[in-house]
Amino acid sequence: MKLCIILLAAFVCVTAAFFTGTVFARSDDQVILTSKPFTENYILTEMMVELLENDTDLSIVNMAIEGGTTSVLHPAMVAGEIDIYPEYTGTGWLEVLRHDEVIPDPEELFDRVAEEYLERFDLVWLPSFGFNNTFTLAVRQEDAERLELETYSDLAAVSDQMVFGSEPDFYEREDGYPGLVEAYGFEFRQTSQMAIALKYPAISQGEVDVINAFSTDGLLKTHELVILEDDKNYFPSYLAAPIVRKEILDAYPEVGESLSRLEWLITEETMMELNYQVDELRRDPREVARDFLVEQGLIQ
Amino acid sequence: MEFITNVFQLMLVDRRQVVLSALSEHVVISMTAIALISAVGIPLGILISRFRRYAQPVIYITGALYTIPVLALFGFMIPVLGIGIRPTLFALFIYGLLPLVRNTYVGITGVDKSIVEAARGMGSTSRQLLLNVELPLALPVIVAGFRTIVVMTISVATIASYIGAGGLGDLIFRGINTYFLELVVAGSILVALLAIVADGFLGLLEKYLLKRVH
Repeated sequence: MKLCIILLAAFVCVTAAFFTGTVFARSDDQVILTSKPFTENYILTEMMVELLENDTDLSIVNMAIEGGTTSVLHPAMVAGEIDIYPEYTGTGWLEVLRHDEVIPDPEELFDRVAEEYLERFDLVWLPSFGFNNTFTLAVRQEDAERLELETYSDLAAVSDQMVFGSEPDFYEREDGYPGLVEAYGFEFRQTSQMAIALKYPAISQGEVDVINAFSTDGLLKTHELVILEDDKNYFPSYLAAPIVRKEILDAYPEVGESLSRLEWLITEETMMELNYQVDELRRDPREVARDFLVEQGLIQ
Repeated sequence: MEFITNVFQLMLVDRRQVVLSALSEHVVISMTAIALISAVGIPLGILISRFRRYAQPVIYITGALYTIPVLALFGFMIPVLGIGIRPTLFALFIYGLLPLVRNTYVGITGVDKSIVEAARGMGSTSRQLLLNVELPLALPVIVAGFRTIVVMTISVATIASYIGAGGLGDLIFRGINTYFLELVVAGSILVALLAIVADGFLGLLEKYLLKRVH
């Protein structure tokens, strides 16, 4: 009995000591990056990690937050729990800043978002990676041909026969499902929600007929899907860029210098190809990121 | 068959580093949570067996906490505890409390009344009664509760990855988010293995304790 109590006490002490020592400690020269939970963001973050490790002497941590949608990551940035992650201008404008005004010019949107982030949250938008990953709607090629679908308006006309599938996030976002339905008058027969990565298998297997896709998705080409045209310009532009806490940039100017080497480096086609390598060819996002940087001559 | 070899190739060769660090994070998170639960749960169980009028409310409250869905709990806690290890431990702690408190309480109160009376009759103080009679006899039930929380904590800790605390959930979520089924399976196998090994070890401990008690 005594032995048992002693053992238990020892166990408690050892783990507690180990834990407070290692896990809670956030050392001084540490920069914490994270990504939103999908392929493209994983790759972008791995690129930044790789580059920062190469260019600086800081301790770079890549924290996996698999529930890390903007609604989770933004408060964590403001609270200083994380320092850097890749975000998209449209998302920042609508979801974080809560504006409903439409700004069609991508550059102007970027400037407005960057300005307001700095003012309100002390967060800095570094120059864009160079591509726009907007939302789009995709249908199976056979349906597109059979029903002669080219635009969202075409789709609206036959939407009562279709099942719409999307991640939970999309139903709640400012730029998401409710506004889309309002803009085009969609009347889908049914809607269903699933993890981002399950949308492609779901539409291929006929579980759903329409999905919201990202325009840089690598799987659009392998799953024989057709992207429809947003003929009423419902979706804003989504230029991808790193957001960094200003405190970090002030304390370690080398972070900003290093990351600015990614400025306008990645086109939409390139991003689609990189996504394809992870989603279809099943390569590790870290390796894909590293190979790309080597290819661009940014690291050895 | 090829699928299985792919999974093991992934675990043991291709992403060995990632898998190892996820595994060790998982062990650290689970052990810390289990330590916290034990440090609070067992004393609390003993306490309510001494002051029985608090027993029902305490068990009722821990039971109510037990029913909150884990993901919802994370949602509530992000504004307060933020992300990472703290909210994860808090969630695991809340979940593990009920089985251990209840088993400790039931184990002690379930000790044969005549034995308790006999011990009292022989002049035991209540401290002696607890340490020399009640706890040893309740031990099998308490250990059974402990086994429950160990297995449960190891499996629930998978969700830690959702809010950035790492662990084997990283592999599973990563796999789901990048269309990589093998990674999901690799992560799941490791979680299951970890739980089975821990449970098997505790099973042996339980047998040993039973022998000593009887």
